[in-house]
Amino acid sequence: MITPLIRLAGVGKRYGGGELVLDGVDLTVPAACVVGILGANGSGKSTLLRILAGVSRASLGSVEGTPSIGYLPDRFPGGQRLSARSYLRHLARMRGLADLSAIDPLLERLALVGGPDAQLRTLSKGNAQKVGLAQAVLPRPDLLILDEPWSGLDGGTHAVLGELVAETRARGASVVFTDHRPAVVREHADAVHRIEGGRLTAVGDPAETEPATRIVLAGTGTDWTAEPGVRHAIAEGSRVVLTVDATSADAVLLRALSGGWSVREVAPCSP
Amino acid sequence: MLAVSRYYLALLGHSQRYLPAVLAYLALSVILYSDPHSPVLPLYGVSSGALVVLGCWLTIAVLDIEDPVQRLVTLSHARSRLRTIGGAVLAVFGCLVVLTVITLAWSAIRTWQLNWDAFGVCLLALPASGLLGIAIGLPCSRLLVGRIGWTVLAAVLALGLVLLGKWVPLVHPLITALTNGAPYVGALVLAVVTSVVALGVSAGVVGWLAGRRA
Repeated sequence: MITPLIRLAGVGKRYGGGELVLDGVDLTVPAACVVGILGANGSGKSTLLRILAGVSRASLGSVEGTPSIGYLPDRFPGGQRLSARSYLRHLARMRGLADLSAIDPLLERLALVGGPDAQLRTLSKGNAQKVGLAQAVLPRPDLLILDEPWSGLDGGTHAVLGELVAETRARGASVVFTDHRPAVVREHADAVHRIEGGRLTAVGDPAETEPATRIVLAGTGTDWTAEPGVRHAIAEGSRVVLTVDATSADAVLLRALSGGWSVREVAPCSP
Repeated sequence: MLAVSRYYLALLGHSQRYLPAVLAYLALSVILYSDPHSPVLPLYGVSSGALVVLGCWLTIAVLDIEDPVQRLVTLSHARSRLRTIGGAVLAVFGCLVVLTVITLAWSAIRTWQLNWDAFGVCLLALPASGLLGIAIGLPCSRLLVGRIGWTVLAAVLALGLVLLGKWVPLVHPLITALTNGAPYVGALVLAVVTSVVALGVSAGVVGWLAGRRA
């Protein structure tokens, strides 16, 4: 039996004396799993993630499990005169990290405009979001919680974020993220939930619950959406990210290689 | 908590929000200790009152720098609301200790006298007053009060009550005793004890209320 990293049971949340923003939420996050939460604006996504991150207290129900957490809020404000590097160093020290050498390469990988010396207050929304993303992944937490992480990021950083999510899962940690776009959630998540009116339900499309494989290819020429076994195909520059039925993965790889594509990554999408 | 404290000190230093209050305090000290023949105990009484205000100012300044959303990020790294509040308190208290030492050194240089009893009073009275200022600043800060106008109003009222209210047994008895040349030992002990207790109660209540509202 897999031990859950964190489990929410019957969680409800109300602010002040107002109505319940979340109501009866049950959610289990196992290790090495990417959980995507779909929901419209005001549906309670951010509140749910704040409770998971331990920065907000549930009014009802229980939260079991205390994994180390990296948390990216829905908007990362910045606004201070501290440089990005200095800010990340301070946060890393709060975690007790002694080796701070990963900061500059991470910011470089995220293509932060202005580099590590850029002051937080000078950053655009997208670049501030990159610093926010960096502070969340830097301590290599057991559970990475990302609130609409793709919002405001440029196309290049979308791919990097996808890689960071995949790397987090590959090292045995889990990711919970929200977005309002089903295609984005399904592309990256092993398990998908939908939140509406403060209630969370698992997305029950049987086709989506079958084991799937994520294949990243580099090249041009084939319309992968028409290929058998391919659920989704999302182009990212010169690369294509495919989500395929696990049973069709070998056949898709064979077609890709014989068609002159380069296989960059193959990973299971389901736990 | 030291890492949180260093972070808040860095924020405060970069924001320069400390400057108006610190410069005003330093100007007051220059004026107060300008006469080398004046007895220093009444002057320490005035400095104590000033440090209550300064402690309150710096606490509000350091806690209001962060956007509420960014404070959540800091909280997720510090992993405890009391640790973030403790870090802010420690950062402000460090600033107040530095100002106490500056006050002490300046008064000693001006009078060219080593009055150890008076120095002892200074080293206890000023930090105790600063702690009380921090205790007042915590509930007036953005942790509980969302709008700066209400923050200013609440802080001014609380400071006026503590500094001028004869029936409030915090630092008022000490300031009165020092400035009037009356016996001050009992008032000093009272100020030190009540300041520490007030800070503990303030930090605990503010942390609990902020947690409930989050």
